[in-house]
Amino acid sequence: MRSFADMNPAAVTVHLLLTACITIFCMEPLLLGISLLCAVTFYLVKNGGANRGFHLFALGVPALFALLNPLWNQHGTTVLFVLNDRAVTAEALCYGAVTGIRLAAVLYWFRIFSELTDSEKLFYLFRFLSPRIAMVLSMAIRNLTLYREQMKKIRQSQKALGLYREAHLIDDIRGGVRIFSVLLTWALENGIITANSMTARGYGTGRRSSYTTFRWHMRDAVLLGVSLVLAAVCIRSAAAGAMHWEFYPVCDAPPHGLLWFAGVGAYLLLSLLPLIYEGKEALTWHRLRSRI
Amino acid sequence: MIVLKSARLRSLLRTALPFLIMPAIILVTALGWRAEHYALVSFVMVLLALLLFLSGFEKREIGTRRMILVSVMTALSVVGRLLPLLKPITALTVLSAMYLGSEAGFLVGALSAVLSNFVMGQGPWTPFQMFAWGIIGFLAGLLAKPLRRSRLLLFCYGAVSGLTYSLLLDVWTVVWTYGEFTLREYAAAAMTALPYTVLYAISNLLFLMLFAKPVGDKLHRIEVKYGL
Amino acid sequence: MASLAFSHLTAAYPEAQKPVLRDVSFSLETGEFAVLCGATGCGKTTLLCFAKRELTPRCTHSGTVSFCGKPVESLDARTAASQIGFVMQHPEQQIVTDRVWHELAFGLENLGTEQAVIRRRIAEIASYFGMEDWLTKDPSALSGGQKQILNLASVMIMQPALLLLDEPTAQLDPLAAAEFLTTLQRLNRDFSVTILLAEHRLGAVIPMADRLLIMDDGALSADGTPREVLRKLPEHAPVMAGMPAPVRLFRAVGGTGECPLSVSDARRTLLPQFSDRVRELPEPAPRPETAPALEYAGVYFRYARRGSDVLSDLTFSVQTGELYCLIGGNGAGKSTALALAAGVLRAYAGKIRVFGKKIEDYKHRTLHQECVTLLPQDVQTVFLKNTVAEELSELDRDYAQTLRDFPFDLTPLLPMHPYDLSGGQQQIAALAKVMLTKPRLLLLDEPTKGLDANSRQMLADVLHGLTAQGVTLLVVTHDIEFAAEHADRCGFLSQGALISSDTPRRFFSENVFYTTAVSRMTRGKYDGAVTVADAAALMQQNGREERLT
Repeated sequence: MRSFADMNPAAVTVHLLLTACITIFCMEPLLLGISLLCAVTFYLVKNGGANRGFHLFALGVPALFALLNPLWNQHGTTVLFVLNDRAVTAEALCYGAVTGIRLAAVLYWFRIFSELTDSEKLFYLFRFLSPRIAMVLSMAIRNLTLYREQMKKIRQSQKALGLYREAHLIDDIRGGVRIFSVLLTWALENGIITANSMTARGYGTGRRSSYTTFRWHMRDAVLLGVSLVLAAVCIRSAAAGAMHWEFYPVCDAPPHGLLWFAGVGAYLLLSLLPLIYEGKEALTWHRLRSRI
Repeated sequence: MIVLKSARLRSLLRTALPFLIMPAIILVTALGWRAEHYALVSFVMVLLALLLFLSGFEKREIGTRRMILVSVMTALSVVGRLLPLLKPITALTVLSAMYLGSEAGFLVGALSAVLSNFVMGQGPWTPFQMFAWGIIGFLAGLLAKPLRRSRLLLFCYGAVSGLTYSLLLDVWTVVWTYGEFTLREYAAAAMTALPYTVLYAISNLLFLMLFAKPVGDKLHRIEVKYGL
Repeated sequence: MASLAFSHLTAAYPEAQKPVLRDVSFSLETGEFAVLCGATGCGKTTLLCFAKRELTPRCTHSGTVSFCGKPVESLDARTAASQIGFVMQHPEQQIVTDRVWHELAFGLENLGTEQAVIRRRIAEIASYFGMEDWLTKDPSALSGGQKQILNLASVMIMQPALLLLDEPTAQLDPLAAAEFLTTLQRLNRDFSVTILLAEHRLGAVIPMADRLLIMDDGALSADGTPREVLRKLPEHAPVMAGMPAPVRLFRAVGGTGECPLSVSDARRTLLPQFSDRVRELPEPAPRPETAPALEYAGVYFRYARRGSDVLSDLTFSVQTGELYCLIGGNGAGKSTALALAAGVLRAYAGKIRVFGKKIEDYKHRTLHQECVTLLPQDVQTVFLKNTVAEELSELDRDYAQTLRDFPFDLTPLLPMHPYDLSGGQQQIAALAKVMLTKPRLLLLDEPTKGLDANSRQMLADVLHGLTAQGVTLLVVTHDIEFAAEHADRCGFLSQGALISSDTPRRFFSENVFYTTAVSRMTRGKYDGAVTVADAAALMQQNGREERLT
């Protein structure tokens, strides 16, 4: 059993995209709750308590939004109280809360995506789109680290010349502009060496193959298949309107029929998948260790 | 002959598609087509346009050196985000497009968005950003000649594209927070974001004013020295 | 069949008055290891590029270049790319991708090789070059030497029959350079790859070469085995200054018999030819003591609070008007010591005084106004304009006046783009630029890196000119020959502390391992001979041993 992060990036990306997209397009509080809970749990399992700033942002901003929506939004019929001549309705409050949860869940899913996707995986994903763009991207990432280093060197050398100043804002900008100009010249002039090194190794001589360290295993196919089937069930249910709440003029839940159960159930499984993989992996390790 | 024609048509379609997408979105809104699916439709459309456009590059002839320069400009615009108060992506995208062509402009814009979001945070807004910056670059490439000739026009284009970028992203904000697009909510969102929008446009313009000449000179030198 | 053959190649760049290559003819047999040397700008790179089809310069030319009997232009694109490998000078900029494995795969991908084959080749080559541990790394995390080995490996993975190298060790420190050359020699022996290596640091290269080609102003002036060529080479040929110390000594004293190529050769064949009645040269008059320009007193520094000390208890001083060379291995803290004196970094304990005043007491950048300036290792971090003249007038509109005493005529450089200058010229242009801040103390970080012998001499002349004007110079360098020839005093830095400090003569003759080739050659026979000039003077004073003549 491999952990979720070690599966083929294509399968992982499809799964995360489906999970996030369904979250975005369903206005079903239960489903959104499940989504947020699973995403937060998985993120915590992977990262521990680190990154407090992100938690603050991903939970704070939606919470703020949920609180502000009723002040903003005049729809709804059940007036709770009146503030500055504006009616605050229960429906607007509910709507705000639900959209807040949705936003938070989406933020977490995307965060998980970027945590799991390093440059190597990004390269692999872009390869499907166009190997050539994947190449440009890989080069750009390489340049990025190169330029950060060079920028540090340039700052040092300009400082030692007494040309880089950090006295106040205008100085700061001027210093930044200097450094960037030096970097710009350096980057463009040295890019040509890279171009030569590429053509010298036969770039552009014809059809390229594209090597990757990722392989496609049965387990990846299973993850992809399961994700697609579960998502299809959700989408079928959502398309039939079985998971769509109306908030205005009054909160109106769809009937809890078979389609609703199928949709919410499938989604529960879908968003639990990463945790299931994680749990099974931990269990396997535990068992192996106790056997040794 | 037919093959050639259809190839041309395909290439035309690829080029034109992004321009059809935006009006299409507006049209769809105007016709009020199932408001609750609005977010879905716009997301899928933007994603499709992006995918089609990017995969079109596989068939196009861009020389190795141009490719290198695209990767250089992309990395520069991402690194430039570390500078105080200057927002280089729009400006560098426009400048790259002017000197390296429309496709290069689109790529620099779109790829800068993905890469910089690995630092600034990925989200469902990533495709929108890729699209917005890509289009700004693409159009600048089409207008390359007049932009290269007139500094004033370039600054105008820079300021307008800075504004456009913010306004396009406000569309995103509305669509994703409300799940639908109405002018009233759009106006409200745009108003709240106004200080940011103005600051963005200014710093963008500032960057362009500071770097239009050096970047132009340097790209021109590279063009001459290495024969692009 | 000849692996590579040049036949009467003459070439000229479009707007140049004279040809860059003139009637070049030579051929290399399969498996030969040939070294190509010549002063900067003599056309070495152009010559190499003519053998690599993808990089053929846009020149008008006549004559042919053929690879395995076929003209290079007529080779199939993929054969040309894979069969002829090319490694360039800059380790960093040749790397294309952001992973080591991907960099290795890059060449094979371009040839359209299948996945399974690529996987196998990567595994093989990683084990051959001992780089299994790096495979998943970002190349930026590698050292300069490792990067260059990676560049070599990613060319070798395409199994070239001919390897062209353009000054591949110029940017490496001596240890990494030696390792790179050893790897190259191993490739040559194991796979009989034909090697054509353009190089100006010849000390380690010449003993391993089968062929030595010397270029002079676009034409081949000598071609043969190293011993043969060096025996006949005129003593004042421009390339002579870059030859290994044993060769230079042999020529300076007019030795007879075979020309020694290495220290052990020289000890065996050259030194016994001379007697040792006079063992030591008279000690030159000591430099009069002057006030200290820069003092380190018990300086400690580390980059992170929980990190380890880079400098620990560094204590020494540099006197006004002296040229002080600070040498030592990688990571000894040399550059850090400079950065501290330049006010870029701050020590966490200890005192640094500049002209008697504590460095913290220089407020509002007064430190950098007519006081201290640092010339960084990477001088390209100094340039941002389109011409050298613009670079200079950026700092001082009246630069001609300020630089009137600058010991180098900058006029020919002024209209040029800084990036179009040679390495040596860039170094001097950058030096001129930093001199505009009128420093009294100038700190230089590896100023001779990548320079050929002539540019090095040119730089040394400029530096001596500056000290004559009373400027104090602190030079950090790996180049011990440079330190031995030009420093007033040398200091050895190790583990962040100064281990020893003395005049070059005493310093290098007391060192055993970290010393010049001449010192290692003459050890036991003469005392205090550290440069070729020292040894030659001693040997000439002593005269030939009667037994042998």
